[in-house]
Amino acid sequence: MDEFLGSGNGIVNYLLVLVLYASVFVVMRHANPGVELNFRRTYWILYFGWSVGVFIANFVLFKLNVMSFLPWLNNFFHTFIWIGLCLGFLYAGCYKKPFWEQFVLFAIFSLIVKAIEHDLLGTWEFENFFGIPGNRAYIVGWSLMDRLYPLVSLVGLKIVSRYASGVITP
Amino acid sequence: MLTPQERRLKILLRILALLFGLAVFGYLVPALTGPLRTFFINLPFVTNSVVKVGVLATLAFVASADVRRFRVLTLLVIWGHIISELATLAVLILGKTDYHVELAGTLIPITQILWGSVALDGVVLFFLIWFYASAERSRYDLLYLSPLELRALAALADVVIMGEKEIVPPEDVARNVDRYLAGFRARTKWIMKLVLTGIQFYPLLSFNPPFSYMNSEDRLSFIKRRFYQDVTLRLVPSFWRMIVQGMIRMGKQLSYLGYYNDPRTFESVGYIPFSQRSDRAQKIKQSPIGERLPLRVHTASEIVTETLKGDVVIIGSGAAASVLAHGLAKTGREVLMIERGDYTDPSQFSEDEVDMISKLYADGALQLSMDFRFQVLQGSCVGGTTVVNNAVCFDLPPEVLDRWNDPGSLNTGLDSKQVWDSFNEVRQLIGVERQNHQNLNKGDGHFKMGLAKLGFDSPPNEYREVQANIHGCLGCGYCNIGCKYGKKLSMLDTVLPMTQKEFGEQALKIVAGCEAEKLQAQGKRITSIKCRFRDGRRIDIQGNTFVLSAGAVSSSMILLRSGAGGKQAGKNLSFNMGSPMTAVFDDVVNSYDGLQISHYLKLSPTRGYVIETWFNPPVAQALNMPGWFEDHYNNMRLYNNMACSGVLVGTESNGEVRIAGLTGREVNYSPTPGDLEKLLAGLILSGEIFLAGGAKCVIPNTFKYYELKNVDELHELPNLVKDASDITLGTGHSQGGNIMSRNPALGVVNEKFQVYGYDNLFVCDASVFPSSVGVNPQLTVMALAHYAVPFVAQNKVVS
Repeated sequence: MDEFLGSGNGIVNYLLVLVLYASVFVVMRHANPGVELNFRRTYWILYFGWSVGVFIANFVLFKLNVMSFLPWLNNFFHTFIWIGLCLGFLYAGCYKKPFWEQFVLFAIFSLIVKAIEHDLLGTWEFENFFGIPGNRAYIVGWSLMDRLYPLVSLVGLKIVSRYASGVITP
Repeated sequence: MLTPQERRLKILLRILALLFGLAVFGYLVPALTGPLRTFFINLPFVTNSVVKVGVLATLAFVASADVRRFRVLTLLVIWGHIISELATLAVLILGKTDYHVELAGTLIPITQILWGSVALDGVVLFFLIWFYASAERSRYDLLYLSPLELRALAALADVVIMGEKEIVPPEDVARNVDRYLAGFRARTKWIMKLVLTGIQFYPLLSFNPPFSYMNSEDRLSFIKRRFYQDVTLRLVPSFWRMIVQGMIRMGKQLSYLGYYNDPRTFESVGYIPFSQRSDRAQKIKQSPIGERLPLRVHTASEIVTETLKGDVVIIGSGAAASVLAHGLAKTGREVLMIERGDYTDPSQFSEDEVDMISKLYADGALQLSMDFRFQVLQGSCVGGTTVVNNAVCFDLPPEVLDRWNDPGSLNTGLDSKQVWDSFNEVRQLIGVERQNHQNLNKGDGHFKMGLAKLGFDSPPNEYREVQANIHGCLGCGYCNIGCKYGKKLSMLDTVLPMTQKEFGEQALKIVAGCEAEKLQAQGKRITSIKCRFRDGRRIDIQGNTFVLSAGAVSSSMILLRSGAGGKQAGKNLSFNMGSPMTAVFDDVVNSYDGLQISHYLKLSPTRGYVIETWFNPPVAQALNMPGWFEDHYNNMRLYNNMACSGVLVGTESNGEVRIAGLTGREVNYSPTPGDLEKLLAGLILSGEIFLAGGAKCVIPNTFKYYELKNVDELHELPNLVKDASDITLGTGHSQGGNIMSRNPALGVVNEKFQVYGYDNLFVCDASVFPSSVGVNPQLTVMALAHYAVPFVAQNKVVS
């Protein structure tokens, strides 16, 4: 059960995580109320790409000893709800903005979510980030990595658009 | 004579009276004598039960004597049972029920007895409600309203239409409305039921009986206090005030519809329908009624497939859609036109205002801003608003085009020369001409006299007959309910049938009664639009190019529902806000006998408004007639001693269309103080002109009634109208919502009318106007549609 929920975690902890996502989503939505019709197909491509990709990557990186283990439910929530739905939504609203602005948005939102998940679930606990010591470095480091979402998406969408129609490449 | 359903109710009540009567003995006798005495005498509720069933027996017995006259007693029996059920359930849930009682040596749980009581009362209640409801329905033989709503409306009509020699009894008024609403083709007409139910039960909040149960005097004083004083003196919170004001405004309007559309009232207001006017034959002789071009329109029953394919799909069939379709057909593209409203053949046009409003406006007549204070009229029929407007044509004021094109602000990027060329082409196409004939609005004489006295009748001020796409007008005064005589050259009469005639039916296929709901896309390409027929059947309309030409509100709604158009969709909505000024004269004017809008006054330099002389047939005039109770009634009796003008103010773009509210279609608009100030200035000037022209008083359409008899009183108007809630405002000219700009952060469409982010989606109607044009916008809408033709025609997307 610990592998699934994480040590000492119950349904309430995960409900609080959902509340966190919802709250952050409300903030995101304030600037951009919905996914534009022309971007919806792209949004779902990003959703599946990022959700499945990161879900697997998190486990692989744990096996490579560069990440802590994310309990399965946390991994699922974080990738399929947070990264897939919420960060995809954020991207849909800001992909036309300059890259530096996108980097800041992605890094800040990721930092907030990781820090609170750490407090609520006790996850994202690791002694270093690629040699930089400290749990804080680990959380900040991975948050900074998340700012690459726009860049990776751009490359990914360019590739996908060669094979699929209706994909918007920024 | 009772109906079978009423007789059934009568029998039920008799049976219940008998059973309840027996139950009195059933409770009382065992408590006084017999083997069960010990049990019954110890039950404290026995006396209560005797009283209860005794009262119910009496009520049921008396009610059964005459189920119509003692209808309320049946209701009391029903209420008695409802209260009994609720009380027993409360005891079951909250009371002490963990004990048994002994009955004839048997221990019975008290819960069992209570549940038995619930079941028994439930069965009685079920039959009572069923029989009562069907008896009520059969008695009134209603088509749309419920008996409760009918009684509320009759009670309201009884007090809001009051005066000497009332022609139509209140119940007939309510029955008329029931009939009208049954035939009214509007999806949102249920709001009327809500309003009437609200009026019926509103008195309960102040511990008064329901509205229709009050006597006439109490009802009148209730309306005066709760609907008039509370609002005018601002005695209730603003939100509540808004609801109350909206409720009474609609309630009054329903009463006026029911009363003044009844032909029995025509003589009392001095109105003669055109078909009965003595000079009709002579007018028709001078301007004979010609043959109309046929128009082929497809209806829901003809379309059996779940998808329909077209080349260019145009949503809407009004001013922009028709001109665009004509232009596209000329370039060889085939148009599939989807219209939400129904097709009414002009041969079916009549003088019955309510019938025509139902057929030609439908939901467009019930479009109100979210605070119920601003009416946004829109035609909803094949031909769109052009079928019901006054056909008044103004060029786009050049200064407005300059402002639109200002690269530093709106930056529409329109080619001015091309735009003016389009104006000329459209003038030719729809036959615009100056209305300098004999059959003009007769109220104009007084207005002109007043203008001359005040010195406003000479250049640079402009007071002239309007230009309109009307030829050979007979002066019937029915522009707003569809020109039966084919003199108004609406899209239904000209451009649409002309397109089919010139380019063939395959060049323009029209589907009516089909509402566009949501666009479907694959990336930047719109693939189809999901539509729904009036009967609820859905259909997928596919095409190469899509154009939204459904008007400022509807086009915005389609984009919003689809999640297209970005953050600006639905925003920057503006209007030509209008309000009438009514003038009363000693002499008979007969303003109704002539072209509805025949003259306009434009001052130079502009003061931000235009004044147009204006009048209506009795129902529309009654809806716009100032006054309450006797004042309204007496004013209607002076109907043919009146003249009217409308003041139009091009508002700021502070409105918004949203998916919200009771109907999921909300216009959020409140005029800015500056716009309201301009409107009031226009009304004051209008009043001054009428007073100088011999009016004995002028009446603004304020919520509180004022008769202004001199210029000094007139100048008090800004003190009497503190905000928009104090005056009736409306528009038929909504603009903006999907404005055009080269700046994608500001506009929804670019200078080619193409929605940003989409390869094959265009918007072409008044919704692309970056600001209000300040004059009747029809010609500008058409000219811009003509201007847009090459952009849409060149949009050939490969499937």
